[in-house]
Amino acid sequence: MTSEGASVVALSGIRKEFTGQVALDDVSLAVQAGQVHALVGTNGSGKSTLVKVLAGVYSPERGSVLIDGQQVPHLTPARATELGLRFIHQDPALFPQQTVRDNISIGSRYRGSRGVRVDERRERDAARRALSAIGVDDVSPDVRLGALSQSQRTMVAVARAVQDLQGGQRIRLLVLDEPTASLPEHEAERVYGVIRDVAAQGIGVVYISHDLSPLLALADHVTVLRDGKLVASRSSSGLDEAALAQLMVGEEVQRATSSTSRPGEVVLSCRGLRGGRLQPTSLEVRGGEIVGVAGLLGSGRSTLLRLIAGSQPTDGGEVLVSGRRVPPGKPAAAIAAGIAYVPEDRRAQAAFPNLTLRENITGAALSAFRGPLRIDERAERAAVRALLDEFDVKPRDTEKQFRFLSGGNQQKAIIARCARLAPEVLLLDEPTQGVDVRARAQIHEAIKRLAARGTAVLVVSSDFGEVLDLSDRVLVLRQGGIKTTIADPATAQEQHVHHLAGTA
Amino acid sequence: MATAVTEQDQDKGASTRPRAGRGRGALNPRWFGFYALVAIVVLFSLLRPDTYPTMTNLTAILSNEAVGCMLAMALFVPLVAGHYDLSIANVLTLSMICSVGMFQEFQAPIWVAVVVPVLVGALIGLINGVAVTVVGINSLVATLATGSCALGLALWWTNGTIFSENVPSGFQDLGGDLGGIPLPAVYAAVLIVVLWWASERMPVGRYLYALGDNAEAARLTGIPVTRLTIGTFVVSGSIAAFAGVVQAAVLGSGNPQVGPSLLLPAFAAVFLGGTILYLGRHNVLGTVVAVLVLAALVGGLEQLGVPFYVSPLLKGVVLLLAVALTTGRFSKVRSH
Repeated sequence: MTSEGASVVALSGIRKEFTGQVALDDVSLAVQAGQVHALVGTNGSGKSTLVKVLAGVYSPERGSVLIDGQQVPHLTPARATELGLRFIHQDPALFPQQTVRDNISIGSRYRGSRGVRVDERRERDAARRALSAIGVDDVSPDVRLGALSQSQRTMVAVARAVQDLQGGQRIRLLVLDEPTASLPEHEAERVYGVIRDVAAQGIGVVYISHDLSPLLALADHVTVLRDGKLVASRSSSGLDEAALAQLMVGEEVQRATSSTSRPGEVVLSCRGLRGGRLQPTSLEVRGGEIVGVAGLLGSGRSTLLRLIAGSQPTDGGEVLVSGRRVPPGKPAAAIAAGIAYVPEDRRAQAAFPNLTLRENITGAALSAFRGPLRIDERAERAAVRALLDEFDVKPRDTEKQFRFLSGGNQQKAIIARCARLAPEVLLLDEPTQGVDVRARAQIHEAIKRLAARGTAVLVVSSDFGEVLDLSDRVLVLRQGGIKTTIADPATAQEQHVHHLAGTA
Repeated sequence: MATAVTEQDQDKGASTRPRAGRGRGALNPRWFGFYALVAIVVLFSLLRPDTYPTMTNLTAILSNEAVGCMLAMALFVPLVAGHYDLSIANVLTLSMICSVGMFQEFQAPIWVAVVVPVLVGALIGLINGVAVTVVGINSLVATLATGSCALGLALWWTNGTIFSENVPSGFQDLGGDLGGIPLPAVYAAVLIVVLWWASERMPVGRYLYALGDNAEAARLTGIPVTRLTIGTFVVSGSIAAFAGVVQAAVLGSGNPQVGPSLLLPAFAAVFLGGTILYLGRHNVLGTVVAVLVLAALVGGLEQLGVPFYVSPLLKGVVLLLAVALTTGRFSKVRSH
């Protein structure tokens, strides 16, 4: 689909600094009409900054933005919209309580209606046209957005962004930032289809994702950033995942080696545990053992962890840690029993964004530093610094506000928080979601280190390759129950797990 | 909408940048509140050298502001945990009525007139806490409703009149002074020290700030969210009620019209306090400085002969500015 000739949108020699720190250094990017252009790099490599320059949010210190070869001197967000540049962010600002039609019309400011009254019929038609233009016919404009699956929501966001095509306006560029981060593979496939449809209409697409293998299949061209510098900009043909990862990181990425620890006694056991989506389930995890849980969205994989962690009430069954029964439905009781839990949604369930890194790490247990009336902050700081070193959390600034850390570093800090509790059982739900390759390898190392100390680990991931790499044993969940156990994940094929879980 | 760049959008490139534009040392914006206080005092002392920088004026300000300061503390506690308590002003009113009512209706001893209103305040706080946590009502709505009920009870009992009979002089002495220092200011000072220590130095303070930042994360890290939240409302109600007792002792009467006008100044102080000492974070000492800034400013303006209606205008403007600086548009600029 790559077409030669002038690019619709180009950045040339962009330099952007934030008070002394160079976020982008002489970065250029040229997107052709109808091209899917992948933008990759580890967390903190400058991808988002580059996108914000394109969106007119940041004005660069040096370099220029060119639209159809013409220089645009002062790009503002409003001007970018006018020029047909569209952006979909990780969290695409949709309204779950409103209908699909309203979600789309809000983007057009209800162009089909007059100020005093919303013309339901015309807005519905507009929404339907916008959806079918990107090949989506199974989403009714009248359903509530909250009733849709994640992938359908993403498609609604895309439809909203490019709907002006129907209004006769020229859309030049669509930028998608991690649109499939939380999607299971077969749903992500549909989003890829939509992206291809958008590109087929002559729109340049910039696509940002950490999920490298589908990205390579989708993209025509790949631009790699590292530490704010352009490392490579080339056609995607002939590039494989390992080579791309190496370009991103700059050194050989070590594939996680399987753990060497020898499983000990049974630490965690569930007997007939049920609740939510989960049918009665029994399982045992030994100390030092990493057990992976593979399953599709809705298979009960996250429910299983929530029930064990006490964050969701059980309907029956019991959880035992080292033979002692854990009271159900109480996170505090689970923690007291030695269960640490890294939840799926970091932003909503784990982070204290406005507190410091230190407070985020020690928040769960202050007992080590507390007298009856005060906290020994010096001891606390020292302990946190040691953890930051151990888990390589950057920056090493205990007083940094948590929200200023990148996603990968936030996740490492949350795992450090759990490690501090010296738990007997560690539960991790999607521990490397939206995290770059380097942080991912570090998180895998950290999980293995904790297992080597005798912790029983249960890991859920929608990335089955990760589950196989990391685990000593894999449970495959399907429709709320354990379908099978893979005793020897090192030799199992990822495709086989997909088959068992029900994808293929 | 999809085409706008949201502020929450994680900016990986910029996230690791150093704190930009923030002054170091004495130029750090966290000290600006203190400078403002000094500047106001110096300014009015120059303009009104005979009446402003006097001991009389100082004790008058301390005495007048003690109740407001305590009410700000009552607001502060649940606000740290992420909840508004709008009932405090009316709890203060009900508490005044209860306190004086104990003398007027029952000829009760002084300790009863102190303890009973505080228990009533704690009870209303308990109701607030249960309504917010167990029942799951938004705290703004729940406390607006219970506050209205508290005012209703006060008006019912007094039938709209002012209670002032049988008030013993021993009770009024509680609102007097000790060696020139107004007792209400002493109570406020003790309360400030206790709350400051609890919020900044004790684990419970950490838990409350964590709770206010992300309640779900707090729950999953094992912090007893329900108990702590109810606790903050009980403490809030008790402090507001105690402030009411002090107000009754100062006035020697129980007037159902007194409370409502105290709510907004408390908000102004707590939010302005969030821009002092710890930027973007409600804190005790910042709130105290904010109370003093507002008092020094209003007191000075009054001495210059500025009309009485300037005070609510000024406090409203200060509240808007303070919120803009703590949670609004400009908070990021200042906390980076």
